Amino acid sequence: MTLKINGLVGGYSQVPVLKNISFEVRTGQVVGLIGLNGAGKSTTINHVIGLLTPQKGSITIDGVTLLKDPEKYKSKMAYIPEIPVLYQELTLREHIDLTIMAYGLNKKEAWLRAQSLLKTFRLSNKLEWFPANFSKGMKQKVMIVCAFLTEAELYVIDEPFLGLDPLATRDLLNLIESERRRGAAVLMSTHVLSTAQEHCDYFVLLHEGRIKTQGTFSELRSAYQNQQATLTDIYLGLTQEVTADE
Amino acid sequence: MNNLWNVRLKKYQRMLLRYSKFVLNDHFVLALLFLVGGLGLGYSNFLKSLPDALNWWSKPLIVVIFVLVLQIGSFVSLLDGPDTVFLLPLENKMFSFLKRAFRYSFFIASCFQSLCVLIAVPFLQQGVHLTGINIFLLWLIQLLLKEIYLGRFFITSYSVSFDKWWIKLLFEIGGPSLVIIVALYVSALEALILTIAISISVFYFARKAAKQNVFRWKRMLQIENHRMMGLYHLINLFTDVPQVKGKIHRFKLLDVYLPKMKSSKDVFKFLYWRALIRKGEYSNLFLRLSLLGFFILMFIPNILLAVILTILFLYLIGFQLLPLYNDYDDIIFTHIYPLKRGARLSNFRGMLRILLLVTGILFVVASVFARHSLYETLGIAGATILMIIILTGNFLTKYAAKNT
Repeated sequence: MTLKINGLVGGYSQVPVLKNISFEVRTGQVVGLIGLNGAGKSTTINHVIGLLTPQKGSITIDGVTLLKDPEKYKSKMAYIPEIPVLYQELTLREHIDLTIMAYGLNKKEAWLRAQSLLKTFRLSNKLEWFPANFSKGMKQKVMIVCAFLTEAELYVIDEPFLGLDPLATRDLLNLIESERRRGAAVLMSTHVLSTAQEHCDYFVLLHEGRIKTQGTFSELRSAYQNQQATLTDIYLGLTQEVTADE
Repeated sequence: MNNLWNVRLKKYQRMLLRYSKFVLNDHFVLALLFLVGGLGLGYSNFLKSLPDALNWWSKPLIVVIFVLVLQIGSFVSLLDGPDTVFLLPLENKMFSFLKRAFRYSFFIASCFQSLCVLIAVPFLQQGVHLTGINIFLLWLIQLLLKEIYLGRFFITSYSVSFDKWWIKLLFEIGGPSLVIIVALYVSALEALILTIAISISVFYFARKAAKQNVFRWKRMLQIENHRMMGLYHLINLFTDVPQVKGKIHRFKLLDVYLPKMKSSKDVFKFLYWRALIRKGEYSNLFLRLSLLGFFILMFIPNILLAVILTILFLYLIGFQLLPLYNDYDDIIFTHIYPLKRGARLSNFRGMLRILLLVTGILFVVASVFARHSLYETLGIAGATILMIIILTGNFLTKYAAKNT
């Protein structure tokens, strides 16, 4: 599976937020999308999941664009939004049922996976509840369960760690790691740089709608000309450089 | 405080005016005209059928009706949640605020009471054989009873003891029944003097309570919120009110009838039926309009009028259910699921057909109750089927295309 973003220009209105973005996400890769507030991380993700249409350039999954075959494009992808989105009138069980239906999964197998995910995130006894009334962290867990039970080829995750307790953060990271080993690809935007440094194997640093730099961690270090630098150092360096520019 | 009241009142009246445009829409005014016309005709026929002698049930009926009418119009305090924080320093000025609130509530309530008394006048003359002067006295009594009814809320805002359920019962039902019985069976003048005495003492109690107690913020807010929610629910029958949205009731017993998890073709069927049952907005609308149509049609022997009403009601129901099609637009996942194009529309069409068919069957049953001939009932059934075909056909396809 390869997600290929090529020369993407886009945004919410005629004025583009993203200017010529190109990068790839391949099987077995966890790609971190890093940037300041308003750098264009969420806009990039909205383009990938198909909520926004590119003004220029293309986004393909295995060579298929959203326009050409929406069903095929969407079936390869699962998404976890930054702010949990839930159906007010569905119970937790029905959220899972609906996800299974929507992705055309095998009911029995998917429910087995769901049970184990629910157990990991301590939601097993809440199946008959309305998640819309849960706390932010618990809603986020519902999002995680629904996304990961699809066994998608590509996971698109927007700021996954906000609102999660330390235990859930650890469990999510384990989950991402095991999905990566299974052969899934992950595109994840985050501000939690220490975590990103440990768990991503490729980084795309965005600033003001342009890619400032991209590469593996050692490539970033070389570019920053400091082999001891942490991702935070590099990120702050980028920020200060930018502030100096202004 | 006067200024604050004026600002609040203006805001409140603007809100009412804004919503009244939605409530008094063309469809509703038309339905209302039919209803008023029908009721007026029934009332006049009823008056003609009255015998010259006094019926034994005339006076008790008036007692019941006047006490029921008395319940119309509540205490409008226009208090708002943040007031407990922002108005707390003005605690001692709340009395003058409440006085304004009371005057306004009483004015509005008096209009409703007077209208109802006016409607009752023909019956009071022909059915109860009251003289003009007695009817006038009865009107004054009814207004004073409403004043006392609202006065209790005034006292309640300071005194806990006037908030007890049996005091409430005494002020709103027991006392008024007694006064009206005295007015009808003994003497209207004596009843009037009695109510004047009570009303004076109520205001004496109100002043006394305000001096001895602190303002009951929580309780008064609760009362006002309750009133506003009632109002919002009423308006919500006609248009969306943001304050009413978001209440979900599961109705667990109905779960077995809801669509089960099947293939990805039925994702929206799964969603739409749950939204319909649990969100209340659409099911309320559907049930109310269907039942209203059913009851109206039961009393329409004229077949032409019945067919027109059948078409009108099916159109109203179908049209008002259409926004449900876009109910899930805000949920990002419905755009991300790998679904086939057109599945959503066909799911929605299926549901709309079933709902309109249920209404249609109700209307055919109503037609049987209205003693239409077999052919006339078949005419109603035909009109129903035609409307379902039109509403769920091209009409819906066009609507969906415009709103996707």
